[in-house]
Amino acid sequence: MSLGYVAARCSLRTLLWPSRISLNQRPAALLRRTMSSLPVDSAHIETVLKYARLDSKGYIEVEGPEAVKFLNGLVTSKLQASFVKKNLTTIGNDSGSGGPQRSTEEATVPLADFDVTKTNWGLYHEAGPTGPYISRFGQYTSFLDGKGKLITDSILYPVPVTVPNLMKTRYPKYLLEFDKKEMLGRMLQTLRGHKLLSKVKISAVEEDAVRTWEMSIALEGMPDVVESAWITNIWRPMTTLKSPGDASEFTNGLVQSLFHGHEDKIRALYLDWRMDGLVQRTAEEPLVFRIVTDNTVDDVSTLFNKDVFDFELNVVPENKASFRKERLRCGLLDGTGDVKPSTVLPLELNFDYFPDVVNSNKGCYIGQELTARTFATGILRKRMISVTIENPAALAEYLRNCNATGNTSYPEVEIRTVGGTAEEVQSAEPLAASPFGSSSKPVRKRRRPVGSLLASEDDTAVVMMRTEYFGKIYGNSEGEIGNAELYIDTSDESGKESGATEIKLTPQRPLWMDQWLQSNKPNF
Amino acid sequence: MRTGRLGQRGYASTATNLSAADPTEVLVQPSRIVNQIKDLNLSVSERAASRLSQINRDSHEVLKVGIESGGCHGFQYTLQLIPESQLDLQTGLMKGGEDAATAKAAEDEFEDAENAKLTIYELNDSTGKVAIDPQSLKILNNTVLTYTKELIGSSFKISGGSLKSSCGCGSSFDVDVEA
Repeated sequence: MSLGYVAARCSLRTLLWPSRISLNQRPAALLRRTMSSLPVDSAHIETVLKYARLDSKGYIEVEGPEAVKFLNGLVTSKLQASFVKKNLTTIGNDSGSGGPQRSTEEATVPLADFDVTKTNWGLYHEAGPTGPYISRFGQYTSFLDGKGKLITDSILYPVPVTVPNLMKTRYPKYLLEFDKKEMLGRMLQTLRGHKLLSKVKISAVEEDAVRTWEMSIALEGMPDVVESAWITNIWRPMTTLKSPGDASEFTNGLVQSLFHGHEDKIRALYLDWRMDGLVQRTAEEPLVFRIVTDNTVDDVSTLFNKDVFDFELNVVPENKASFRKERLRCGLLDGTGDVKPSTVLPLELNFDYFPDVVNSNKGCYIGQELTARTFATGILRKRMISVTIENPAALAEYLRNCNATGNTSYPEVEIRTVGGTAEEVQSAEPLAASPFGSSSKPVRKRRRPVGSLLASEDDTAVVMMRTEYFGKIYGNSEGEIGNAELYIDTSDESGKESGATEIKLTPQRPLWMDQWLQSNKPNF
Repeated sequence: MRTGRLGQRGYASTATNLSAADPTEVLVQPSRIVNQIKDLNLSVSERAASRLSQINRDSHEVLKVGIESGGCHGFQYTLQLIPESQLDLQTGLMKGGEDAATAKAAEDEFEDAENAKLTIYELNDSTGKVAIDPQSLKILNNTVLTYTKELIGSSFKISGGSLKSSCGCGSSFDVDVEA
């Protein structure tokens, strides 16, 4: 599967995009469009469904009239449109709710007015093409500590994903997803500690009551000239939903289409749009789902309605390691298995490039100060990139040996110009004359690591890199190409079996790199 | 109980936080404490007490102190001046407000009866009054409520106890986890 960058599709978009979706039209009806109306040869296309059970997750349920306000003060996502700025001693020009940059092509359509303390209305999303929208799908978000560092990421799901009659529900209700072993207990305690007088009920979902699944569905063989079916049939209508009623109707229709006959087994649903803000999805690109089902489901692929697409269905059982590897390849994290709590900042994980994960205009929440300051100054010294590992076995051995010696810090990554040495790349730091006279031994200049390896799966890993080296690695926006290589020096720890003293890492180009190079214009 | 916006009538009722209380502050012994909770205490300085008496004299209001979740560091103050008539001084319960009746019915399952009983400190011969709910008092235990006059404005301030680190604007803070 490749994340191809398809350029120049503007002309085709106007042909394929249905006439402007009016807010009165029932969005669910759009899903009935099958691919046969489009100019493709369906004989060579197949629907490839990959899935795996994710058994490491646990859930906390938060319900109550003040659930939205409570969660808004704890997560990085913006969960409600308006907020009260604390201690405002100056008057800004955007009192109340601000907003992200709107696309200039379409007018902003505001949300319908409704009471966020009543009914199980769903989730607020600000980053829509026509302004904010409401959805019942999960939202990837994160929890920070007071110093602004990431404690854990999470997915926040409205639950249940389908409700037969929205008006009969009483309060907003959500599920928060955490790593069962490392985070569930700690987050439950934190949430309860913050409850105070808030009108919310916080409870852990019984371990065996639900099951978590990862699923990816791709239309392989689909020609590039066609817009991705996921964008046409789900993303576009989804982002026009301006009221909880519309969101509920659309979601009911979608779940009915995708999981016909098994709707009641689906408790919550997450669609991974994180990369969509960066590059146009190709027609073949799979959509990754995370599905929370009840415990009667043994194989989530049996719930999928094979008639939703006109193509033959090919089901491929996978394991969670292969989903993890694909995630790391795209630079997406999942849980504390990938990154240790309180070690990295959310912006260093590129959360600002994903829709609605981190918001710079949402009032106060834990860890907001450092995050807001970084947004304002624009100075971020490190960002996470994805790399391929030349010798995965050597890396595994190195990590094992590190653990054995009790070294739990992230392995250091170093850089050198292709064909050169590390000292040449790093700016020469003139050694000051020692006040104690020169020592007899020549002092080896200490190489400062340029990155840390956060997590790896097979031959794919993610590295937290100092951004000052991005120009050297990726070239710059003027077209000069990079000429540096990355490696981990293993000469002190191990490599005895494989005989290697270093592990070469090949940096992959993140989808946001072009944007980043444009706005940061690095020097060589 | 809805926590509304801070009353801004001429005197700023926002709180800024220093992690350590000023040791030179003179504390006032309350003349009466309603619903005192064992081992939990909020101290009031002389300056705060006289300001509270002044407020009570001028507008018959009492200071209601609360904590809620949120803010840059985890918790934030909600300081409110509420009319004395809304508070039953014998039981410590809030009485009749416009939204109380409607809120009660639907949200009783979320209302913890224990938290509705406020602890009331009456100072300076019961002229100045501070009310605080048990949950907030647990977090603000051993802190000092004082009143400062600075160039930027005068405000009530809470400091000491197990409060640590605060955000830049001072309205949010974190607590040392109690044993």
